[in-house]
Amino acid sequence: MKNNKTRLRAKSGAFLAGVGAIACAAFAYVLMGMKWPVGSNVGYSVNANSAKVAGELAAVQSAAGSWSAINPSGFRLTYQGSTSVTSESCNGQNTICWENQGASSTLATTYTWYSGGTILENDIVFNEAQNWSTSGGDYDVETVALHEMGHVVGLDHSNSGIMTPYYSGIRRSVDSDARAGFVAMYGGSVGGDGPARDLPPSVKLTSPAPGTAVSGIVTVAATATDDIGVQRVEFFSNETLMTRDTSAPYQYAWDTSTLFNGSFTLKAIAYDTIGQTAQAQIAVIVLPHAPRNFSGIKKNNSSTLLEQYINVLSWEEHEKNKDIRGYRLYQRDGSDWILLAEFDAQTFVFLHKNVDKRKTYTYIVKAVDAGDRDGDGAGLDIQ
Amino acid sequence: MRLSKFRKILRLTFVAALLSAAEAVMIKAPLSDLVEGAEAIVLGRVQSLQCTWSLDQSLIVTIVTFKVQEVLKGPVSGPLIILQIPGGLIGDIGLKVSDTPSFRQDEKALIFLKMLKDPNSPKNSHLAAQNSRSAYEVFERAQGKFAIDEAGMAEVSGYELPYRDNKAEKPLPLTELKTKIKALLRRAPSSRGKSHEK
Repeated sequence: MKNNKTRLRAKSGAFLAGVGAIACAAFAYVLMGMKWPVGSNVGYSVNANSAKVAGELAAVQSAAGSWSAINPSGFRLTYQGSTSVTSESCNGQNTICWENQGASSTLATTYTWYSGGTILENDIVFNEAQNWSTSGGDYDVETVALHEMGHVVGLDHSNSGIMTPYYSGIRRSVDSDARAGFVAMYGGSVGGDGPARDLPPSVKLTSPAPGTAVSGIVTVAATATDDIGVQRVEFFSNETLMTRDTSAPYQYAWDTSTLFNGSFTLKAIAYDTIGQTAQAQIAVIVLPHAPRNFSGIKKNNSSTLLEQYINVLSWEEHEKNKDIRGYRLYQRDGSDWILLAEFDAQTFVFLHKNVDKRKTYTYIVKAVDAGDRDGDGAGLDIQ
Repeated sequence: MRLSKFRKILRLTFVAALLSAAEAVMIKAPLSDLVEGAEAIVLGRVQSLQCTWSLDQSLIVTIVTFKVQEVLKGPVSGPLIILQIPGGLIGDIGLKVSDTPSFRQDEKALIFLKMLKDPNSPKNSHLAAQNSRSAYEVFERAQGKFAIDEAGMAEVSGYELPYRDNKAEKPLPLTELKTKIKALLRRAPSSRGKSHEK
């Protein structure tokens, strides 16, 4: 967009003829005289920075979906993620944000950059000073977004439907007049008021099972479906984006070895081709990590007159363990593991007395979390 | 591109002709709110229009030089004021901003004004910065400008098309509009809320 400034030409005569609003006799829609190229998949980013309402992103996405559903092959608006931009700017990005524009009658403003009859960029700025709502009160975000996106596609004000200039209550579908205007520019079927929608996707986390205690490398998997198509699935661990997967099977290898033990929320968000989303989440427990530096040696107990051997065992805490209740030491007995001793969280040494001088002993020590769950074990053989 | 070159181009292209009609969804501002909220109300004629980039090069704005013929509420800085309107056309690049009123060369208009906030802001033009004491913007955007036609009829010009079929917003004689404004000015300021009616 910036580069366009360097190629300014004195073409305004031809241009002005192109921007005049064009009314339609059969329908009440009015075209601005500029539009996106037919077939455009216009990406937009949202700074959902309104402090006055929750769910504004979903409302904006729903409005975009209503326009995109008219003729997805002719034009669509696709959510491309969040942005930190807080005001309109000629920066090559289509941005939607909230900015406090003070007390005025303005609910939202659309900035349309164009060249000739072609739209180059749109920014929508909602006036944060107004009382916004997504649940039926005051000014409905989706209604206003639907109107402003009408300008984004190239519609001017008209005398009816969503493109009237004044707010008159909630209206969350594209009326037949506005739809006809869209179809005139981008093709598709006019149909009736309230078009069939591109339904949002669905997603389910299939692995691990909810509440599972996990450790090491864990496969996190999800299934996602959509009536038109799944664009991607994003996986989060405690709100941190772990990966984006754009093709099925949707999964990734979650490495828990670098995390503190404890409770984690795993979330998957599926996006369809127009940016509608669905999410699923589960809670899992990351088990304590194996204690560090588990070591031992067999010694002759010189404090007694008899020949008596002891195995001296020691370990250290793992730097990624927290809220550890204590440790458990297990000894192999044939094919079984038997609990040899339990310790508090500050004990790191154990003397296994009266051991057989000629026998090999196998031990495992595990940290125990606050929920009395054994963590990963550190093993040791002493001959 | 240098601003001086812009000016040269703009003189050639005589951008003046037209800023397109506004679009966006707004809350209806009744005349009483316009009268009460405007810092000044003037009647006059458009002397010239000039489009330029904002100081930070992020926006195109149009500078309307307006010759004041009558002050209904004031004061104003002088017989020539400038209005900064977001949007405009420079060469083959245009910016259309919803809610902005339209202006034409030599057009007669009655305008509700407020001083341009922070004229030296990067979002404003160098012309606004240079003329900070006479730089205004239209109060309540498109709702704050009435175009006066040759027959002396006043009409809010920002929403030409939708207003045509709206009986409540049909043009009214300038004399009647001025009478209403003066009557409202004689009232004591009140703390009325905005009307949300369509």
